[in-house]
Amino acid sequence: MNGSRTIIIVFLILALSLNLAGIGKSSIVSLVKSSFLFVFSPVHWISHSSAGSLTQFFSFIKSAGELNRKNQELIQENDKLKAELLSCQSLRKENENLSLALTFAPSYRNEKLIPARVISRVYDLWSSQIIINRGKFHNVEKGYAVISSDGLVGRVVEVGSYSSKARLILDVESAVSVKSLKSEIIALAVGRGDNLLKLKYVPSGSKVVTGEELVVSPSSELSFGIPVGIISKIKESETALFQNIELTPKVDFSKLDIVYVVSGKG
Amino acid sequence: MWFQERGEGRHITNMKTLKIINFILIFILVIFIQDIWWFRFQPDFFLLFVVVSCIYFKSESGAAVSFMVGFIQDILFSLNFLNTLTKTVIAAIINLIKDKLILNEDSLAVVLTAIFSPLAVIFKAGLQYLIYRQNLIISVFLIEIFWVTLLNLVAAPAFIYLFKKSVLYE
Repeated sequence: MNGSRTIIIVFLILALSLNLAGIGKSSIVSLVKSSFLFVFSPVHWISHSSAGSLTQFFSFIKSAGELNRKNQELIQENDKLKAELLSCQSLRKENENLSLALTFAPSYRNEKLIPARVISRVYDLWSSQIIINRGKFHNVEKGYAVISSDGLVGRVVEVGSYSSKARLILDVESAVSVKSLKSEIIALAVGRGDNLLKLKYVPSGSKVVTGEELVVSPSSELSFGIPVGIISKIKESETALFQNIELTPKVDFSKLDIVYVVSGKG
Repeated sequence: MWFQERGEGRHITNMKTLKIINFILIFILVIFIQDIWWFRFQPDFFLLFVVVSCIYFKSESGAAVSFMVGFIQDILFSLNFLNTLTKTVIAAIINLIKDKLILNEDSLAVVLTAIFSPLAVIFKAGLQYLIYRQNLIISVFLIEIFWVTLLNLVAAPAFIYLFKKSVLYE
């Protein structure tokens, strides 16, 4: 009985030490985590791929009846887009010429986008994170921004050899400095643990409106201008110092598949 | 006679190996389910694993399994080590109280799931606040407690059945 108690106490101390070591970002803990990440990345990849196939299969069955109608619509849309593409190409050429004329180098940020596939995702109250199939081997580093075609997804927090973990902006530990291009307020977008963000430190009386878009602010470590979210709810109290604002992220996190790691920190 | 005893000994060893393999397979299945889960709220299969292991295994083995389950859950699905601590504490409490509750093992597993599902969420929130200084929004927190407890209770009978059939051969 005493022996078993000792063993349980040893495990308790070990568990507590792991948490305390984790706070200090111990190099041993990071090493253990990245090793496990490396070992388990095939598991994530296999389960995510099979889940994706299952979802695709069920959605195919569900939408079989609509396929013909959608096909016709797509053919029409394709023709329309082809015509638009032709006009866009000429506009692009014109834009390039004008940029050159203004000596405005197109790659002024000196950043590169590394395409990556999401191989695992966790969204719960405790942590909102994704695992992507790009790591040290692909020049991904800790702190790099992760974006999708819609906007900011999160930031790389752990890097393995061939995979990395990124903390989503929905995570309760995530905070991004944002700026409104319309009212020019600068605030902090923090995760709430659900599908929304909270906008902090917007003084009462600031003229912000619902529907206003916020992007990464120039003061952030991340690249300026990446869309973050849209103001969906404002609760102003007469006595409070700051407004209580809810932000809906631009990115639909339930449909994340391909993301881009922005190499460089703004 | 000696060859008969040797044959029985080998049979017992084979059974033990088979049980360990089944145990690992169930754990991989739990990881797989956690990985492919589509919805926002999900049952905490790792907690079910801890509860069931603590009830059916010896105290030391239950504690060791709980620590490993929490640790692997943290490595794979978390950015800190809250689950390791939570699962180890739960294992310690179960080992303390399991002999004092007069219930058969299956009912005990369900009762303990009902007790520890909300407690695990509350404990994790407390640790998150104490260790990482992170506040949670109360409404989101309450919804999490409700759904995790409900889903755990729904999943518990099937999980216990699977565990008993494949690991304990009952």
